[in-house]
Amino acid sequence: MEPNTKYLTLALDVRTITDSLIEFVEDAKELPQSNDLLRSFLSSLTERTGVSVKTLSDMGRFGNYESLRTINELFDSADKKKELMTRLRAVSDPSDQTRQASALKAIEILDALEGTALYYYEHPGSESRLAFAL
Amino acid sequence: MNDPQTLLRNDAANLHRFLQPIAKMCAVDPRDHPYYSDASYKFFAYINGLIGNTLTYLEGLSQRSSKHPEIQHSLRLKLKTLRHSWGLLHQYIKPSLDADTLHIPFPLLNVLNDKLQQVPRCENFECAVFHLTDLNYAMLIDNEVNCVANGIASKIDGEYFPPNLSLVGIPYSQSSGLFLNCLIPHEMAHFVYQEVMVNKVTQAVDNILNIHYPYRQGASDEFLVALSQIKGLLNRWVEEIFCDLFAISLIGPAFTFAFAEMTSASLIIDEPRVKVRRFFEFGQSHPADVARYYLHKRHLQALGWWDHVKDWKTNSVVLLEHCSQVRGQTTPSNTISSNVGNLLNLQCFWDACDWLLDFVKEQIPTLEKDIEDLGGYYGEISKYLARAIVPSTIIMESGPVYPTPIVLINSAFRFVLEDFDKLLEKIGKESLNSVKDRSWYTERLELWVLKALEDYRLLSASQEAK
Repeated sequence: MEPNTKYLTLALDVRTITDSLIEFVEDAKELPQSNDLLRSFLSSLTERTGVSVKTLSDMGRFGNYESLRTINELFDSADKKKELMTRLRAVSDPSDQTRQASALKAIEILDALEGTALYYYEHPGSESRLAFAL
Repeated sequence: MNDPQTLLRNDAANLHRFLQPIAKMCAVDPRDHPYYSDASYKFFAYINGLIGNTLTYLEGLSQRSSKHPEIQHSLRLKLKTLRHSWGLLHQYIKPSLDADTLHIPFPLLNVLNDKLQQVPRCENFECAVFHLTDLNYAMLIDNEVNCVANGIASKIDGEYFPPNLSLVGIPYSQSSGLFLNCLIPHEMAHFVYQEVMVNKVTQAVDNILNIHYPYRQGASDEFLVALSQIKGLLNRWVEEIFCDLFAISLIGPAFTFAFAEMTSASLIIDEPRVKVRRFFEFGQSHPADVARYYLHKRHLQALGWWDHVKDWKTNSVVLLEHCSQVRGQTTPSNTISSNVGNLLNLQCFWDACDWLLDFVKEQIPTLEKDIEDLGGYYGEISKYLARAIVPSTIIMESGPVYPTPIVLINSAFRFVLEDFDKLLEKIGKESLNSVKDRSWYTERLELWVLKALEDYRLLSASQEAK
């Protein structure tokens, strides 16, 4: 796969999560109980104490370079990642009173992620402005 | 200013308008000219169905109204993503429509599809062809097209991409050729890799990476990003090697010789490394050519081909020997960022390939009878070719023999590499030094062998019927 196509795939994967949130808000349809894609996405947002190859495997479809750097660019602090995780977890919790508001906020954040991925897909090479020095 | 619902409806109408002409193009009737392979018809029918589902989804959006502006905006973004996704699929539709049966190497494809279906768990796989303007060969990459098509399907309630279907791109000008089209099995192998082998191979690669890059306490996100790049590179390189080895398992050394021709790799033999640096470098998408040829030789040895091939008087054999000696001089290319290049340990690649050589040999049926027959029949086949006779049936002491496609293809390579002058001498002494004649008779040779491949299907079918 050409690297920039991975950004399109990222946009499509994020859209899958967003669609399920829209269905929750509009049709009161609960998020699927067993949702590998959402689990992988949450794993990519999780704060870590260490890094291994397994860390990448746990992120599933979000464990590739293009996904990681897009997510890292958009969520440039641990707090931003944490906020989205909190919102997504709230939607999955039937006892949470703020589920609908959390879903709408999560939709906004995920749209920003989808939009960034599409931008990189449309503009190959533009992501190189991000530097990740070791 | 338009209200959000109007904006959504306009966006939907624009995408609808974009898709309608594509639907018309893909409405291919199997009873009409031109004719396509079954796999191509399947592809067109799938695309047509997916467009139909997308159009229905778009038409339904006009009834959809949300009180939440976030959702109205999000649906518009979804249409943008769908448009880009269809834009990607759009790239492959016209090249597939161009590749009707008169413009593809149909007899060779039949042989390759037959061989592919003999691989365990690939019994129902089908491979069709589309045309590329690049002088290269490429697969309709599973991750690219299947993922994107399935991504569209899941958003608009459409069907998923046909599970056993793969399309391979060939240069549009090479439809009547044999030799370069022996690269097609490599592209078929990408499909086999993605559909059948990927989990086992990536698990093995992960295990090797774990040894070289153990858990690092307190490592930063930046390290994780670099590790993801290394993992991505290694997986891409290993997939390419898998496909090379698979192609050799499928059709023998013909793949290596076709690859050597395509890459002009014999330049490596006499030039100093500095002049042919590119062949020694691992790039973003492909391993170093030197590494590939070294591994080709090891696989040919493991399968039993090498004993037959090693004495062929051709630069391609010298190339394989040479690459085995210099493979230690390979390095990452400078297209790989320095932070990743510095962290990258190429030993991971070699360890993965050691594992892969055994894995491929276990997974793909071997061609022992063909290897033996190549040795036994080549002398006779070469006499036929030197007299410009199609070697569909050769007369041996034991009686008439129909050489198998693998014997024919590899004999043709050996003939063109070693004995082609015997044919040209019969044409006329002046042809020996004529580039034009050599080129023209090579094309003839390819046509004779393609005819023999076609005949083999008929002859073996009639023999089975008896």
